Amino acid sequence: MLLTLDLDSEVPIYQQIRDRVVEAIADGELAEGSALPSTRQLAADLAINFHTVNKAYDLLRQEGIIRINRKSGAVIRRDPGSGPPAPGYADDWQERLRTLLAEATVHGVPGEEVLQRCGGVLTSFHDQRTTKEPSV
Amino acid sequence: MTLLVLACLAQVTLLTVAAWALPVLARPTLPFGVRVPAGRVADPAITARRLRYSRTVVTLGVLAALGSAPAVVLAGTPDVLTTIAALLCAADIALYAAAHRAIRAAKRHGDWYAGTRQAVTADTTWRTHPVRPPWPLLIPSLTLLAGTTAIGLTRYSSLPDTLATLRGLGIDTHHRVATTPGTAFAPVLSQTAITILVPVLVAALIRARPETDAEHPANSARRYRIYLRGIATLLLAGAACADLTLLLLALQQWNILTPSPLTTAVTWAPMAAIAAALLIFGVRVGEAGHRLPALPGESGSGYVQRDDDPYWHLAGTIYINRHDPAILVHQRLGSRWTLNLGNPVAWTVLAVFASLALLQLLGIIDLPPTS
Repeated sequence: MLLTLDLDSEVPIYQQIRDRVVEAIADGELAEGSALPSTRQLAADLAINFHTVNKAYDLLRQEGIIRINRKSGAVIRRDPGSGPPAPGYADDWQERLRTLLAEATVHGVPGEEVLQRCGGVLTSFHDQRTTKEPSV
Repeated sequence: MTLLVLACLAQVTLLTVAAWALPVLARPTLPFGVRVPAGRVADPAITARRLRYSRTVVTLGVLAALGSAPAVVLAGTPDVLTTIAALLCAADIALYAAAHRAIRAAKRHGDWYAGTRQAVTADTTWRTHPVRPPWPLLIPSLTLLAGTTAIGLTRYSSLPDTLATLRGLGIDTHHRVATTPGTAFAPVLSQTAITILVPVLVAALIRARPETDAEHPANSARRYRIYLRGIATLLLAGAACADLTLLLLALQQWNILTPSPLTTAVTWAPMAAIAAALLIFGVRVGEAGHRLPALPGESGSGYVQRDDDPYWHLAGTIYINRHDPAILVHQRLGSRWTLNLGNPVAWTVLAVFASLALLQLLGIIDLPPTS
């Protein structure tokens, strides 16, 4: 998985790391059981503070996306094939989606285009998953 | 005298070619050790400076060659070779530093990073699926070390009171030192140091930060993987070659082989072979693998690699970044690595080496001889 951080972005670095990992799982680059580098190693590879990586991994762990243990380090806990989401997850997600859709509405993006773009993103995840071998 | 003049000319030629090749072999986005966006690699400021540097280096080389012949004849000693080499190196380094400053100034005045999005990229598979060095290549080194030790132990009791020493490239039978375990087993100690230190170095290089370009992350990661595997192979093969050379030197010291020009040539042939292999590798693969062909299909990511010039000092040779947890980083110039002097661990490593050197200088410990 290639993890690129935009240093000029307003999105905090830890959030970018979290987002890239989630996208890599959706794309099929990472699957359940895939290992992630240790926080110190990833921090050294990105030339950033290891506390930043720690914060990103902690966020992913709280969201149930990765599990962390002393022996095997950080490992992907769930992917699209891991079954239905946890109870209440869809409601939480809809709340966040509401904000994103509100932004699109405020900026005047037509409803049809919003639906079309959402569909395009979902299709791209599916297409990527069918072509990529996950790195375990 | 003719031989000395020829040696001087060969040395001047070698140094001039090496200085001329530095910017030619460098990565395009790091001309003279300055980080530039990929869109600026053909900027007139860079091409003009590169041309000027090349011309001046060649002119200096020609002048040094013309001036060195009378200097050698007048001085009449081999010491003049060292002086000429030092002067030429100093002049070439000054030229390189001037080119570095000029490009840095052009970059600053032109604001080359304006309108770009700077990024860093890590390939997580580097840590989950790291490069596997060809460890079986250690077998020849270990075999040579064991063989040299066995021969030394068998031969030690029958050695004369004094041993011939290494002078220049060959064993000098007229310059002798008293036979002690330290002098007799010096080649074995050197072999041991090489056989231990080279694998440690290879393991450290595998763990060092890979040079991934945020603009073309997939291709740069693939190239660096090939490059690092090649470097690891050459280092391990180099350890075996060095151990073989040390065995042949030991055999001459222990009066098993007779020192002669032919023996000297055979002794150093493995080192010459590995030097040639490194040179071919450097030209074909390039620094961090940038000369390897790109795989089709990867378009630019839209980002440029982060401008980390503020952390590189002395014409891009010294790296100091207190916010970077990396200890070992790839040099901007050449296929080499350097310590991040902003990391306390790097200072600890340097302190250990400095302490060893100081202890040897004070005569408290006796390190294996380097010549």
